[in-house]
Amino acid sequence: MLTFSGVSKYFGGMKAVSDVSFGIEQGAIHALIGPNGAGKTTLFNLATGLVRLSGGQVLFGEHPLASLEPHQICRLGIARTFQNIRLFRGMTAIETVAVGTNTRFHYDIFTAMLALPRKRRNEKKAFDKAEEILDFVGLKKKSNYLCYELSYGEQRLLEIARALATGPKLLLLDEPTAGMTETETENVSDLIKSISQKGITVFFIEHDMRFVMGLSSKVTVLNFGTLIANGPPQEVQNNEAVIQAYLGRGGALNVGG
Amino acid sequence: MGESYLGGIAIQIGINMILALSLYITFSTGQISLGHAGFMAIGGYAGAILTVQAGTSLTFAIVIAALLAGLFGLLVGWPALRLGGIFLAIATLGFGIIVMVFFQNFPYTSGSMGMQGMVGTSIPLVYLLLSAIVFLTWQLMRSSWGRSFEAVREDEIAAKTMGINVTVVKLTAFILGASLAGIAGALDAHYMYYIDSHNYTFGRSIEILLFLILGGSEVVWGPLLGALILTALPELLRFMADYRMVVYGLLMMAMMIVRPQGIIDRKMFHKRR
Repeated sequence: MLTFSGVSKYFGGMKAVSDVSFGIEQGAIHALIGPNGAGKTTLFNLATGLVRLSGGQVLFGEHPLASLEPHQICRLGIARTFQNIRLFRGMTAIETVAVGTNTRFHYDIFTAMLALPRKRRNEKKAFDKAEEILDFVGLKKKSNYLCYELSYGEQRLLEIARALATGPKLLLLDEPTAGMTETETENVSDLIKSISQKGITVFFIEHDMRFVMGLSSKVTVLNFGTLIANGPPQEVQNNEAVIQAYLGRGGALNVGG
Repeated sequence: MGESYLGGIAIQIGINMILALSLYITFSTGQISLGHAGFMAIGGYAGAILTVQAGTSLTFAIVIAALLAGLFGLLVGWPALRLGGIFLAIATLGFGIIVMVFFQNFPYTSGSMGMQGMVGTSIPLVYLLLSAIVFLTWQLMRSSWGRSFEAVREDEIAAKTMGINVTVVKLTAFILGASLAGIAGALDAHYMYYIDSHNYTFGRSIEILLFLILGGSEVVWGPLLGALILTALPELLRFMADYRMVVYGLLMMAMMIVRPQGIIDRKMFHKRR
């Protein structure tokens, strides 16, 4: 569904990602892990058009994404959340999610300004949809709260709701449980499962290994911008290169030695 | 001309309210324009040429003024898309200066001698247009377009990835803002009877910005209140003669400390649970 082939990204002389190739299959819950600075978020930014490729290709189905703008990529069916939460300050939760529905219930600016009936119909659809999605992520009661009145964990859920509102086929989550309590983390795990059950493919970055191993059908590991492992969780867990990247050379082997 | 003292102030308030809304729309996408006096000048001169030299009706002149100012909004807004914050402010300031200097030297509009003979702006005309503009702006901001504007202002990157075409949003807001400034310019020229390039200095652009800063720029009513207060205040303070602008200055300083978001903010309209 999403294919990285020979993908590279340089920032000046710094190789953020170099020659990375792997694919995300439709229906997967696919994890992307790796130490800090491994290039995980850069891959997300490449897939959503926020930064331009230095080399290689990213394909979404049959579509090459290289020349597309972020909003066009969103309309093709890729939505995302951000590691450092990016909400619209001053909007309520339901308005925030309604922004995500803009592409589905579009109407022209004259209809908007003249308050024509088409506007009322589309606004109702947008807010009904937004409410439905807020209910789905468990934030229905907070509909009329301003974004910054929500707790950190709730803000992360609101970002997921906003992304879902765009009607994605593929959802990219950048550290969805960062800063969450254990209970909140479990809720996110369940939420990702229900998102997957709706037929949406999930690709996520995460540091919590228990979370990753318990949830994902496939795991890709990056280290210093290169791919060091890609496969089912158990396989990746026992991969020598992965153990070295996380624990240092020989680290795990010396335990109890 | 032909209006009483109070009638004149009422007209100025109405025109300034339109100007405040014109900047409000542009600003609602996070774009700061310090060139609105330039768009106003284009509307003012275009309107003046049409009614005085071509003999058209004022209504027709206002429509053309809006379209022409809007066109210049597109011409300025397009290259300005890459700029944000203070850089955009400086670029638009440059545009305002270019327009002013152009009309200072353009022989067809009598250069620095100015143009005269423009009449026709009346209280009913100003307030009819103002009412329509308030309604349209209010409805615009209460729509998916308004939410897109706000999303772009609050976080451009998040807005993009949610499917919002930032280019379209920013340009639309810039063009609409410029058009409204053009309408205000035409109304202003036909109220003043006489205009020259000094009506459209950088100071005028700043004055419009102050309407937003004082009244608030989060909801449509803020700029309107700001324009009302800042237009009426110098008149109310006439007894202080030359010192009245001191009060104006103190007010701005106090606002920045006490209520930086302006008198009216979004919270006042936020439904409590």
